[in-house]
Amino acid sequence: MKKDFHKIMFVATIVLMALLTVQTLTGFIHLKPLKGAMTLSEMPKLTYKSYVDNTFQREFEQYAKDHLGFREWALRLYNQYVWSCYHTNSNSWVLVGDDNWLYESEFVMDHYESAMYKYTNDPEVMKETFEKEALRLWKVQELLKEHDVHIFVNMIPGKDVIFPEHLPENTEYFEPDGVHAYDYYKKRFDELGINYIDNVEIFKKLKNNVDYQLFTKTGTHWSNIASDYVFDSIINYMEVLGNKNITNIAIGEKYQARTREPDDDLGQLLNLTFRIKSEPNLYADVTAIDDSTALKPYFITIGDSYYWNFVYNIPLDKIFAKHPYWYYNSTIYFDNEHTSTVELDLDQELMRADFIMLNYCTVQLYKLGNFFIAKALTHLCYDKQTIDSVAANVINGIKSNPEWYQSIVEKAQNNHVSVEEALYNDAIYVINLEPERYFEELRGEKMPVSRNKDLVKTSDNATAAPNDLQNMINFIYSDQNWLEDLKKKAEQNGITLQEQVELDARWMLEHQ
Amino acid sequence: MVFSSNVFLIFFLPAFLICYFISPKSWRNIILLLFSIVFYAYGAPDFILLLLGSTVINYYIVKLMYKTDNQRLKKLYCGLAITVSLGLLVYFKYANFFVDNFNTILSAIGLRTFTFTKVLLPIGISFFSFQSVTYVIDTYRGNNKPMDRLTDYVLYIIMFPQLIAGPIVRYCDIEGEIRQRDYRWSECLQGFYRFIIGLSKKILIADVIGAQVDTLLGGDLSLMNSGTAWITIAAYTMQLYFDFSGYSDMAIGLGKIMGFHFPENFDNPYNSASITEFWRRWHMTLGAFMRNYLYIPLGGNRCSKSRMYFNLWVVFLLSGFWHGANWNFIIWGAYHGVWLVLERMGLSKFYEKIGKVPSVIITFIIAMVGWAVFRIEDLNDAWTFITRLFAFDFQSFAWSQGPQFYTTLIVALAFAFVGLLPFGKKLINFTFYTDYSIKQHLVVWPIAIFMLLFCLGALNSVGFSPFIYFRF
Repeated sequence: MKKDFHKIMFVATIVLMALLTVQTLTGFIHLKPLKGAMTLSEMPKLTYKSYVDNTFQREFEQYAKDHLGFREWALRLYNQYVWSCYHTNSNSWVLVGDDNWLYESEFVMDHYESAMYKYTNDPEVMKETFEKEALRLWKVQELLKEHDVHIFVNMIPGKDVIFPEHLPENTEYFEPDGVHAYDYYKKRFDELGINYIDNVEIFKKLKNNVDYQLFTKTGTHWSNIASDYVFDSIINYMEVLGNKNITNIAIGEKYQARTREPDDDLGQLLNLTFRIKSEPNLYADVTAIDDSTALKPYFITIGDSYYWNFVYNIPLDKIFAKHPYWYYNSTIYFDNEHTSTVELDLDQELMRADFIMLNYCTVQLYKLGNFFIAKALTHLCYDKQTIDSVAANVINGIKSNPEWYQSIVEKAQNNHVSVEEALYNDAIYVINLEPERYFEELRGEKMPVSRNKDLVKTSDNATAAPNDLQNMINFIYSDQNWLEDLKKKAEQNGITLQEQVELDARWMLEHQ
Repeated sequence: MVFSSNVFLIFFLPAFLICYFISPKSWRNIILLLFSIVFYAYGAPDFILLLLGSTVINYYIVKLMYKTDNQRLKKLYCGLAITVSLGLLVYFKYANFFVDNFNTILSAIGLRTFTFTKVLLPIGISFFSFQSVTYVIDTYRGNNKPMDRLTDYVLYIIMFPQLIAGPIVRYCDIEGEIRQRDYRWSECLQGFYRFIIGLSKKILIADVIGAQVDTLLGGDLSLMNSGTAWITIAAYTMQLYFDFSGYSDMAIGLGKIMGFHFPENFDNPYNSASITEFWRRWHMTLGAFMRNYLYIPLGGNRCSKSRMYFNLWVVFLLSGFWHGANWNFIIWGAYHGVWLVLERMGLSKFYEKIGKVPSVIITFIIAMVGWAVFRIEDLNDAWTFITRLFAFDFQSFAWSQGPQFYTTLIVALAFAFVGLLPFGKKLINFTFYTDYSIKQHLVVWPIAIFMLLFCLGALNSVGFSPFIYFRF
């Protein structure tokens, strides 16, 4: 009996270990996934070279780490232990402040040292960069205005700016005398007359005078409700700026609820077994106020992740004809035609837009626009032919530098493009990095001349809502397959095809 | 491959256990041998052929040695086999050291130094070389017969549980079990528990403390206050103990699962009341090796006192050198040798007078100071650190390493000294040397499984920092 017991227990041990292996390889038991974005490694390829130089072993260990069976349980268990016992966590992005206030590490750094130090230790160099960017933005603003396109900056406070009293102690950052992008830009925007909304000042004033939390203890972004009120202000701002009537939003009655996504995004990143109990916040439902006279502008946003709260809460489709979001001027969301800014015809995009919002929080402001501003300035002033002729000179420069040229050749091989294409792309990149180097007219505070005659404002936007419905109905009628489906659906629902088409068109407009 | 890696825990160990236990008993040595070769070849592809080649050569030399009746030839074969084993160790482990020092002398006297391609150190060479030496000498002395089968001998040398970091298993201790061993399921379970204890010591204590020790010693040592210096060295003392003894526990546990009984390697060394006792409790298998194969052949105690002191000191000097090819290890060995000699000369009587607890404290402090030299390879830095220890400058001390570090350090110290108490002795006896009842298994087994999951969490939480990429 005892012997059998021992045997059963030991066999069970081996079975459990084997289960761990199988789960690692197949993930056949579905567990609640860990929160946060992570890049999981792929199974490395075993070759003689990778084996002998130990690359395979290193990569395989990483693979095992990333795909560990029951990783979700194991990590949550350990994270809960370090959180419960030591009020700390293993995620280096999340720092724990006073009274369990959580902060993203970048915000803590920016508070104590200014994010500029990531790139330069010289405040003068950074001031120069900010100055150039401010001047470029002013020029772009004025040039776009000629085409009835309005660009503005929405400056958002980081959590550290509004709630510095709960920040973790500074043990790492020792260079407090930097120049902060927010301070520099605010002053220069005022002097140059650049359009901006300063939510930093607004939030500071609101901090002790509102009944809801502007930032929650366990979130890194502004709270849902705070962003709702900000968006209301943005619409009003755009109406004044563009002298247009835009659909307004109504913020409903506030109600108290348990902290919900994304107000606890940092809390979730801790990946604990038991979620941190956070104080409830106030929430409100946001609706678009029907206004048949309102225009639906084409609204481009370039910026950081603070925009996502708008996507989450605001009925953007009902307000805007289109609202593509160029995340850090790189990946594009909410645009059926493009997924990356690399694919864009910038001239066309600029002329399609009614409003362009640069939406940056204080931590990210030092990279305002993520090179969009310089690129837009070049495109507004010079046609493709002129830019290409400058690019040809840059390409010659690259070719005369063997190291640089070699790096381009390698890049071309890695990206599976021709060397000529890689050279051109790099030349354009270099020009956009600092167009003033190549175009004398762009230097200094003098306004350059626009190439207006080549730029034609398009108007696939600013259409009233009823036209949208009719457009959608027409579109459905033009699609035979869709129409066949709707015929069946109409029969099932006992209504006419015409009614079914209208129902589907409305559904599409509301949900797409 | 190390035991505290994902590849070992997730892939290698389960695969090995399944293959081992579903095989007929007569195949198990071969299965173990094949997995051991994979284990070594995975981590050290450059050296597997060297290891296997030298092992095969030694096997046949020892066979010849055993067969011959000619004593001179026997001695010659013995010397040859030892040369093969230790020659590899000397070349791979010490060639860089000797060449660097030779070049230093050459440049000091104004001569041209010569260039030398650095030699890479094959992992585990210190251990398998010594095991091979025990095989040669034990057979030479007639303590045992050589292995009949080459595969059994290769298995003895290359068996994966103790291949990388010991314990150093003497051939005579394991010979019988390689030929034939009994399997008891209860021992398999006990082996699993022992493995988990070792894994926990390594991951939950040694690694947690070690990360902070690295940070602390990575700063400017001359600016370190005495409080931080003592905490640092106490932490390193615990890190080393829990790391090394944890590895030994894992090796012993794995051995037990397979039906082997490897010798114990640690016996609460910090409970020692003298350095002599410390060395009977710390890395016991190395101590036994040095005693049997070096100290006794040198004359041991069977000679004049001065010669005995010299023998002792030399043994510890070489023991230090075995730990690493650097001057700090030599000094560390010599340092311990000096204390052992002093104890023989009368210090031990002083310890007897002052009693157990003060002696344990003094011994612990001596050991800690020794570890400073052991850890800090640069001798100037080591000296700076030691001067900071005894500068008695506590003014700028701050508890700056975070609660997890201090809590873990306290837990480690508690475990390290618990053996001094009667309750602690009972606890140790129960944990390591008790045949559990069914009821006890029913409690311990789920704890062991939980600890395995917990250790995997700890192992993989390091470097796991998903970042915010809001909902996408």
